[in-house]
Amino acid sequence: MTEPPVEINEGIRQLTICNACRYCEGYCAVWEAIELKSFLNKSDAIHLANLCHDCRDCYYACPFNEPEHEYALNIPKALGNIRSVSYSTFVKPKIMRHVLESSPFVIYILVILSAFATLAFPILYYGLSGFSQIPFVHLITPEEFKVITLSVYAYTLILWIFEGYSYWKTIKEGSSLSLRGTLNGIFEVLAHKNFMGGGTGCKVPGERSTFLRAILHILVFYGFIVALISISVYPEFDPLVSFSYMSAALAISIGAVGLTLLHIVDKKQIRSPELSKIDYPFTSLLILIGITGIPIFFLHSGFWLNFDFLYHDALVLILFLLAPFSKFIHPVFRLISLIKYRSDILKVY
Amino acid sequence: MSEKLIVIGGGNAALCAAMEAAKRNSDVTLIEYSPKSQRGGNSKYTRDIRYTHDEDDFTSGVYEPSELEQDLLGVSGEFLNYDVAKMVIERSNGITKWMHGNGIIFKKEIRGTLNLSRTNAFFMGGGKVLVDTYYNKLEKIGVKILYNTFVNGIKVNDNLIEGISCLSNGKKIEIVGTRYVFASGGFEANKAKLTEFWGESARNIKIRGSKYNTGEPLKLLIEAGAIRVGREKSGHVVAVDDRSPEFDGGIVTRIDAIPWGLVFNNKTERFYDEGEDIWPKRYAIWGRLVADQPSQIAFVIIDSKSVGKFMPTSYPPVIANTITELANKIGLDPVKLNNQIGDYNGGIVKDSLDFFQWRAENISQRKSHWALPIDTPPYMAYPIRPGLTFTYEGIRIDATGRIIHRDGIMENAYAAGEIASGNVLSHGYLAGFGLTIGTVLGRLAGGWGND
Repeated sequence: MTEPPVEINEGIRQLTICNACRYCEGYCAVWEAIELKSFLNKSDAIHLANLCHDCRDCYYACPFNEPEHEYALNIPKALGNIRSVSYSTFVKPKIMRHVLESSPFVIYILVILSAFATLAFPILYYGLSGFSQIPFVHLITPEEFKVITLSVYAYTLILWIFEGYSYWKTIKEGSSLSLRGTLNGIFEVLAHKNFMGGGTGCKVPGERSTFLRAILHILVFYGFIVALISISVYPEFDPLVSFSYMSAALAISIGAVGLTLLHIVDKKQIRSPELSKIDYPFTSLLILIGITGIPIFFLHSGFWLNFDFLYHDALVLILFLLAPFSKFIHPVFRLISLIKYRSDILKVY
Repeated sequence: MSEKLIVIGGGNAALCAAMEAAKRNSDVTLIEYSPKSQRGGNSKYTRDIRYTHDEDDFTSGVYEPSELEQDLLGVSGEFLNYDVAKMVIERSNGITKWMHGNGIIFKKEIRGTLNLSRTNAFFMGGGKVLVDTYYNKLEKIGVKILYNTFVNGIKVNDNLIEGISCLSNGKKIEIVGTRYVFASGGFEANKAKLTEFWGESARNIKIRGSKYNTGEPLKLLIEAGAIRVGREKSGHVVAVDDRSPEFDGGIVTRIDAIPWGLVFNNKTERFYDEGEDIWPKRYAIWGRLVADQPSQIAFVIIDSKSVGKFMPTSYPPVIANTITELANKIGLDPVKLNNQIGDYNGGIVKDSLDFFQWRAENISQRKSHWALPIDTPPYMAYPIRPGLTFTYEGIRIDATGRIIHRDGIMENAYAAGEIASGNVLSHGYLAGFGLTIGTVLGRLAGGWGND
């Protein structure tokens, strides 16, 4: 293997100091997992970095931070930089790392192009008045919808599995997964346990914050799941399904706007600039998806509904097509690392 | 006349005093030598507090005052000021309730590092979170906090303090109050002062705590007639990594590998039984032992079998595949080192299944426990230096926390925290007890409100 990137060596340097300190024990999974090792290597650094949920509790607890202390620690930033490197390293197919690394360019261009496309093509095809009068279930028939969604889900899942497997091979280091560890890991994701800072909260934005970021992430996370379940019955929308899809879209909008704002007002020196580069385009896309998802069920019919419906679908399609090469890669590595951590813990204690 | 409290210092004891007084609506001014970013003195390197208690939420069982007293005697051997020691023990009872009430979040359980879950309560995030929590609280109440402010004069008249003079951000100011709390720490970061007691070896001592603990207020008080307590060289000195920063290495620089290895000085000679002292006292002896060696340096040598048996270190060990290579890397005599380790390996008596009982006999320096053969490469070495945590020489106080002057009790002056710790401990150290002394004496000096 070639020399590890500087980000990883720097992370190992900083985490080695942490492992001699351990005052942050109790904040999150990183500080439990690090105690299982005496010496840290490249794989450990990648694993620990992907356990980090960027809550900053450790930063505010640390007496060794840059710029005052010669240890020059800045753990949230160092781990963020490693996460960014790990996304590029394990992206599949490898060539797509360029798409990931150009997230701002790719996502914003696609968002704009798809707006034009969803306007131009149907109008050219149906004519303006035709497009305004046609019910949206005729724009995309239930059969088409089923084929498109299922193949897109399959595509995303397959690539995620390839990426996840490649990641797992690197961080594995003799671990074996246990069923209980896996269930525990999944539970930590569902419960957002690592956003809670062991009861002290998540200090974004700023030292006095507590649970705002966890709530916003929960809105996006569960909003997304509820939306996927609701839309699966397309086009049989009873009032309950309509309401749940609309609420989910609203939750995603609020969550994504909130998360974007948190990171805009937060202290920049604690965040990995490389991560911000892929975060903002992704949360922007989520905001647009959320906002365009809200009106579908109260606009009843007409030009704006049809346009909104198509544009919303196009954005969701972009989200899934880019999922393996965007910020949406993070749940894969996070989940695998949480499962490994919980499985390792079960073996020791 | 309403109370005006002046608190000199910015660590835990100072903050506790300020909080107690501010809650009674006293006018409080806190004077911290360091800039805001480095406030908190040595308290920012703490992580737990030892206190007597019944069953409670933060510990795993009862800790009686008599047991704490015995534990203190065990490390210190004597009480230099029994009244104060007894008072601190008594008032420590259940003190985490007060801390919790002031925003400190305690851990539910502790594992992995130290086995102190019954006697000590550990708080989330450690000392920096502790002092930041208290500072935030004081800012909210409206306590005046002067950073970058250095006390350079104390005016005493008839064993009453009439005022202090300071350099505040380079400007000379005079501060007058009705009561004064000296919670300004020891003098461990003052190399000139250390040299007076330790001689030239002080140059090679690492200071584990804040570089702002220069002990100027302590010196001024003694010059003004305050009575000293404690011995000049007494303090907590542990073995730390030679590569540590000169100041502020905190917890992470300590080398915990000694009982599992052999320690050589730069003449490639062993000088003490590495297996003699078991936890927790071993921390407190090796700093002094290394301080007595030529150039105040020594090397702990272990082999790969011992990896994982001690706390990880902040710097990687020097690693080599042979003893000769290791000796060359760390500048010891390779022939001598090979012979010494060979003799040691040959002298090990393994008459128990428990390797704690293994010992090396019939060699010039025996090792009485944990005598594991050093024979499995890679071999590793850590260069060690004395690391001074804090000093015990300070100011004598009475059981109300007031400073004792050569002419009697100083009615309006208190000492709290490390500057008064010599009243309770004369040497050795009990984990988590520095914070107890600071919290109890700080609250006492601040008025110990009835909450």
